Amino acid sequence: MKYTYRIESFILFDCVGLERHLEEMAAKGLQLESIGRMFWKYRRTEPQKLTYSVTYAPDASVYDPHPTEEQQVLTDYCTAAGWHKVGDLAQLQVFVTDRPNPTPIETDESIRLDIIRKSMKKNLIFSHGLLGVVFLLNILLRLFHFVDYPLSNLPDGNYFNSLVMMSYGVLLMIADVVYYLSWQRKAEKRIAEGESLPEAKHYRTITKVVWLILFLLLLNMLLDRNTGIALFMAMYLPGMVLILMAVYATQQYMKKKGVSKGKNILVTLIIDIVLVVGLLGIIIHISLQNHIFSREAPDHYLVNDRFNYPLWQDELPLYVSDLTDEDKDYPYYSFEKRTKESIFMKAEDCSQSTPPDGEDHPEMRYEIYTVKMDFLYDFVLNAVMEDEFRYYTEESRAMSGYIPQNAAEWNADAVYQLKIGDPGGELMEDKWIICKDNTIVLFRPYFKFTDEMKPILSEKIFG
Amino acid sequence: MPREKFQTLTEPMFYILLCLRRECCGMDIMAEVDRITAGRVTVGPGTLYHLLDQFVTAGLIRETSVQGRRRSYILTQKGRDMLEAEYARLRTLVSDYEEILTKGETQ
Repeated sequence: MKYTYRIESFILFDCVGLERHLEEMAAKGLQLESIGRMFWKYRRTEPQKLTYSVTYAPDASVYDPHPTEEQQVLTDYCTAAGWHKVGDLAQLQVFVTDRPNPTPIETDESIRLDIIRKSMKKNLIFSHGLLGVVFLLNILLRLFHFVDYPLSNLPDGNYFNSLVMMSYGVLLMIADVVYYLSWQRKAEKRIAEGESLPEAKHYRTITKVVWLILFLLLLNMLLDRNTGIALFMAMYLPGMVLILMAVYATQQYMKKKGVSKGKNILVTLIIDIVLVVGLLGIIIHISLQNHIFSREAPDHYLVNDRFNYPLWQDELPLYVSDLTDEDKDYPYYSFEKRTKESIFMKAEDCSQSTPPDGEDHPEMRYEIYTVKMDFLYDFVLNAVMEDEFRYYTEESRAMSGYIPQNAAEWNADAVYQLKIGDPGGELMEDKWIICKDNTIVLFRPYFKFTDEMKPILSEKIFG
Repeated sequence: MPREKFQTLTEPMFYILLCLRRECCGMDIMAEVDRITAGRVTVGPGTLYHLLDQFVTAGLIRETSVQGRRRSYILTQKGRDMLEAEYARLRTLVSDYEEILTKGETQ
């Protein structure tokens, strides 16, 4: 016998749509053989006119080792009326008959709606509610993190990708519940008018659009060029598919062995957690071994025979040698640039540093924030300023701040210098914020910084 | 506006309760309703199963015996009262009809 396996996209309460779909499939020569969690198995036959009927057993669960008594009695009644059970999925029970004009399994639409309501409370409402709360908490945590560290998150494409994915998930769950509630209202109205339950029209089309958007979001993550997230996702997604298959196989195995519903849920949950943690562990291990998230410096300097100091050779927009001739030929400078970019902002963290071997050479560090959306400019400037005072006491914070300076000296639009104040007095620090067009630079030289150097810095960084 | 539960009985509800004036197995009720109504009222197996469950929960019937998966039921006093009330309601309808249409027409 030949079989065909299909992934069926339907929503659990759409009994009318499912019945019609199965009858159309039978007419095409595909008879439903069994229902799996992932795939529905169809037997290839001659096209046949069959009648399908979908009903519900509200207390049934996919974890039940055997059909519950409720399911068995229901099946007995249906068998006595000439129906043959094809399969079930959680509360959903599918029957078929080849009798012409069979007695419908459900002859009272209001009772049928009642049973669907009970089933949905245990299935759709419960699972979506639980998952929705978990996703919402995750989103809230991410948003709180954003409020605390805007400069770290705003240029982070991965941060927004995962936020969008989570929000998309929540949106889908809300949409499902709203769709169900509106279907239920429509059903009540139709029943009051003496009509049958409505079909959840367009759901299959909507599902296709949902999957397409999900695919595009995943593709966007896979094509991420800035970090190792693409490689991470390339390992994570197939890993998750394998885990889902393993969890499903375990669940089925336990069902076959007659393990009780409670134990099955517990073991499945534990296996799920262990496998996900294991998968993440393996991916992180592989990532660290292969420097997927971090880069390896091309050279190192052995400090006091104890540890290797990485000597980066990244190209920087501004070098110490552009500003001063001091130690121009020092050979162990590390030039490091770390870049993060999102649709909102690009952040380049640049530093020219020397190994901590007791010698003193001019060093500097500067962060370049390129704001891509005008409305974010003041927010980013404020965040750059406030980041300095994160760990200040309230008293010190009140006496400190960035003081506007003469921007013309820098050929910039605005310049601020850090003033640190405490009860002992005030001190102007060599820490500057230079703004030009849509770019904000936080500059920290660790050498004597003179007025002549200011326009050179602007020329090199702003071009 | 959906009907308040068991406030009035639908035809299938009425006949299922009527069948259970005597102890009866769930599966036999379908055939019994068919026989009593001469095929005019059909109770689907799913509807029957769910209604029996709801009647037990509402205390209108009770389980009398369980043999394997064969369960037998019988009306409780509450169920009998409900059936009586429904009968009285239907009698009132008939009486009103007769009063207004039949007698009224002849006067």
